Amino acid sequence: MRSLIGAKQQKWLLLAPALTVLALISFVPFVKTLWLSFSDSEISALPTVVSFIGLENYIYALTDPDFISSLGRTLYFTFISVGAEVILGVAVALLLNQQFKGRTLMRALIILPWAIPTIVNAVTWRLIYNPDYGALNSLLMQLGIIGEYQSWLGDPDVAMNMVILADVWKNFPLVAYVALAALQTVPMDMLNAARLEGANAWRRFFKITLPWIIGPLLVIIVLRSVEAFRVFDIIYVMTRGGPANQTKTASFYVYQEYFSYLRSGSGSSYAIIVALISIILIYGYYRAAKRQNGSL
Amino acid sequence: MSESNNSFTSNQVSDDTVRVASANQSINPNNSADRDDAILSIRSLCKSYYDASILQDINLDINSGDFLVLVGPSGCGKSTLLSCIGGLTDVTSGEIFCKGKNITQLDPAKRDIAMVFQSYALFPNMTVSQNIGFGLEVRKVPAAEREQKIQQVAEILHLQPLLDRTPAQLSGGQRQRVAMGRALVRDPTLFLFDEPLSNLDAKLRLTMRTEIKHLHQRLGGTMVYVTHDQVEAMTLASKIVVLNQGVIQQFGTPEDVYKRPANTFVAEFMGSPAMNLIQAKVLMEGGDVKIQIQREDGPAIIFTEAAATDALRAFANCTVIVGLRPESISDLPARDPQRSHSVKCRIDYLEGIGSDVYATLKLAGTDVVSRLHGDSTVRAGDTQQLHFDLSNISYFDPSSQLRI
Amino acid sequence: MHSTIKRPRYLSYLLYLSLILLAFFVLAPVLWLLLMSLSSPTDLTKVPLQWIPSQWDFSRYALLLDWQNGSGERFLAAMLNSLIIATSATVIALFAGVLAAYAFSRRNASMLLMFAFLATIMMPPITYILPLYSAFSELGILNTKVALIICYCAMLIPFAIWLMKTNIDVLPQEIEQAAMIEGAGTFYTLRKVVLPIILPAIGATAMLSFLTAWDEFFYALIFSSDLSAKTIPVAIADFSAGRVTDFGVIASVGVLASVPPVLIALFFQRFIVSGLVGGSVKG
Ligand SMILES: Nc1ncnc2c1ncn2[C@@H]1O[C@H](COP(=O)(O)OP(=O)(O)OP(=O)(O)O)[C@@H](O)[C@H]1O
Ligand SMILES: [Mg+2]
Repeated sequence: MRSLIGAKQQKWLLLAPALTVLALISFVPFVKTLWLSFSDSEISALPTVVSFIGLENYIYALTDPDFISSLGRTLYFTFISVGAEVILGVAVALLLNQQFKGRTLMRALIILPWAIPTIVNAVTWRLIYNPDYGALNSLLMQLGIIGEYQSWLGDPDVAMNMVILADVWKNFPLVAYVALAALQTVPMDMLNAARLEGANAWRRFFKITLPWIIGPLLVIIVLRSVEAFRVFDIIYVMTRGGPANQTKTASFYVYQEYFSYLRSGSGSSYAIIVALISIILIYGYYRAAKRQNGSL
Repeated sequence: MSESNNSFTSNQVSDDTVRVASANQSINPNNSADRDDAILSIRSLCKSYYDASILQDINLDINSGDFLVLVGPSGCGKSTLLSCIGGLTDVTSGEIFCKGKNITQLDPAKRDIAMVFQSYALFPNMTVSQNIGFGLEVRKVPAAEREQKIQQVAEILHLQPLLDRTPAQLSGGQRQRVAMGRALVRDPTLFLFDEPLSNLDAKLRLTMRTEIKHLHQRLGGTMVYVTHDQVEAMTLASKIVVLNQGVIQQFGTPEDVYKRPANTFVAEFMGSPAMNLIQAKVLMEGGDVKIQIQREDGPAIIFTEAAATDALRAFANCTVIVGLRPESISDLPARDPQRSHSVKCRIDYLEGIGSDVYATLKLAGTDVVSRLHGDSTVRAGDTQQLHFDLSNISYFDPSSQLRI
Repeated sequence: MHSTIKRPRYLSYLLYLSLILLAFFVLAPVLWLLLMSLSSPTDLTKVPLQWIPSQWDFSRYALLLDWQNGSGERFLAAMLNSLIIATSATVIALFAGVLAAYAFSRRNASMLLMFAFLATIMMPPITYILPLYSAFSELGILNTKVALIICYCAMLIPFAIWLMKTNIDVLPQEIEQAAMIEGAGTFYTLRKVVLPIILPAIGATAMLSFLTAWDEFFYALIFSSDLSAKTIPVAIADFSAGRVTDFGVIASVGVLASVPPVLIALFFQRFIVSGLVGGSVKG
């Protein structure tokens, strides 16, 4: 790029509005949360004396088995749900990359789950899972798969997986679209050459197609992981962290620490720990995006 | 263009020849004092990207009404120099003056310069007339006046029927004319053209070349025109700057550059086929300077240089490089019998282009191209009487590659 | 992309079977939501279910689209709030986003800063929420649309910058240079030349931004407490958690809240998908 006279001053002028908003709404609050995490601050109507207590909150947080297990659950949610989205998404992309009648319609159709608002998605699946009158129970019963109605979200062993199913339904289209776009850049010559060499479909997929689309996939995988790791809304609507805390994810845990127990100091330290894990994921995104685009 | 009537003596040649611009002083090929002050002066301009030096110590003066053509091989820095003049790139060091005012740090918008880009850079979202009128609109010229000027320019460039189209609906040549229209409408101090014809097909390029030439003659204006096509340079220019690897090789009139190339680079770059560069030896016989060219298939060619300069004499008994254009080696006698030398030569191979036949022979170990008449019946392997026209011969120093 | 070799018959069957399964998986939840919103409460509480309603019941829609009753008022106010908040945030974010994108694309702004911007929206909102809460409360703008608009701007801007930057990057620079040579300043060039050319990209960005803001739940949950600022996601959460016992009402709210994003997504499919995919699939 050619540099231009006066570019320096203009650069900051152009950046000013965005920078102002982000500084005030993101950077400054982050620093303040960081500061709070080293204090014994509490949310209260009365002005209170806040004192600096060093790493005490962090020591407490890291020895709090409830918090540690909420982190574990969040990782489980992230891993399983993104994994399922990727497998389903790539499979759907491969399917929609075939030639068949109504392909355009099918491609248009899968935007539907993505377009449904997250909260509506959560509410819909909650109704579907309803233990007394839910569609899932009714369907499985009529198909003879279950003998009696189940409490899908009430069973600590399966609740998380049911939430994950709802999340996968909503988010797999994104992966599918990215994979589909990537698939369309795979050179047909290469595939045909491999076909003439006698490589079967599996080999062609793993030796040619997958390596070709892995770059874009990696970007979307990490991006989805970052999003999944901060999951809150779907949990809030579907289970509120229950049953027996089995779906209480880290964001929800911090939310309760803040707004149910009003402990801003220790809540902040939890938030910072969650943030640190996110930063690792974000760094992963940075690497994947850089690999894919050269520059960022 | 090749067989010029005026036979310059070698004395005049050396006086007028402009040397490679190595020193800091500016060079003006027409050092006549009655000229206006330069419209554009460039002083010791350097430009580098990081540690890559793109332009080195450029010095130029452009006078009002000049048609200055910047020519050079691809990547030599022509576009970069144009960008510096236009203010699209900041310079690393040096200064640019426009009408005596230092504009080195001035915003491109305030330079009163118009530019025609290689890609035309038309605004795709605007009609032809909006494109042409853009600069006027920016300057808040009243709508009526703007309209009138657009019409004038459209008439000159035959764009009237296209005014309401968008660039996407135009052919390459039409887009090119719109780009010119956008430049012409404002009557700026200086026009910059960056290879405006390079995206056109050969025939259209020829037509547009003539049209640009006529426009310049009709409307005046000062132009800086970039091309890497040396024919375009020769036909359009009133002055030529030959650039190579960011260094000015020669700055002069087309005739200077063609007949008296400042160094072997210019000699080879300008003209097609290129000037023949042949190793030769300078011999002194009595007071006469003789030039001796060896060849494998016959006795050495020896001719007398009747107009030898002192500089050439200084190369006595040393090797020089002789520069002869293909048209100076011909089957027809030279115009000036005094400056002609005839030899029988064996022709290695032939290449006919209709009007002429290019015959290749070997002199001093290199292939030498000569231009024969189109009706020549000579065949490869034949021996042919060739006439060397010495009136436009050049000599170069083999170590510095500079003109002697 | 086009396979020239003919498929064996069994593969064709497999293909169409998979497509039917896919269509069922994608459509079933949506169709069921729609059916629930139109079934009578008795059909919805049968065991096993009465899948196709014995009679169509439009009463919930009538209820929800009526300002005069409680549910209708809560729903319509929330829709209106969402509309106002999402639109305002989108407009502001586009404005700030275009300018910053131009700085990144054409004025050498550091890519590290771009990444820092992107990182802010990847961080969990719980890292920002408490200081924001105290700040808004001190400013007295808790439970106002303004608070949410500001938050959503911060959420949309980095994304808008990124999308528009990728679109400006591929424009030939000569066009802007031509405008500058013709005497136009940066802002004039942006307004008259760059923006009209990237209009489709701006459209895609606007729609994606709008949908993102329409979808947001966490900030809305915490910063709004009544009809003056509650957005539709919060209203839905309330409906589904609250006293409403008729699933049909909840389903109807869900259907109505999905109408704007689904329509946008279906009509502007091409735009949106290219916007979604743009950041990750690229040479
Ligand atoms: N932004 C840049 N960064 C680094 N190097 C550059 C940049 N722009 C141009 N160059 C280098 O500067 C040199 C001159 O480029 P320029 O575009 O001026 O060449 P040119 O003479 O116009 O060539 P052409 O005839 O192909 O248009 C080239 O070697 C090019 O690689
Ligand atoms: Mg160039």
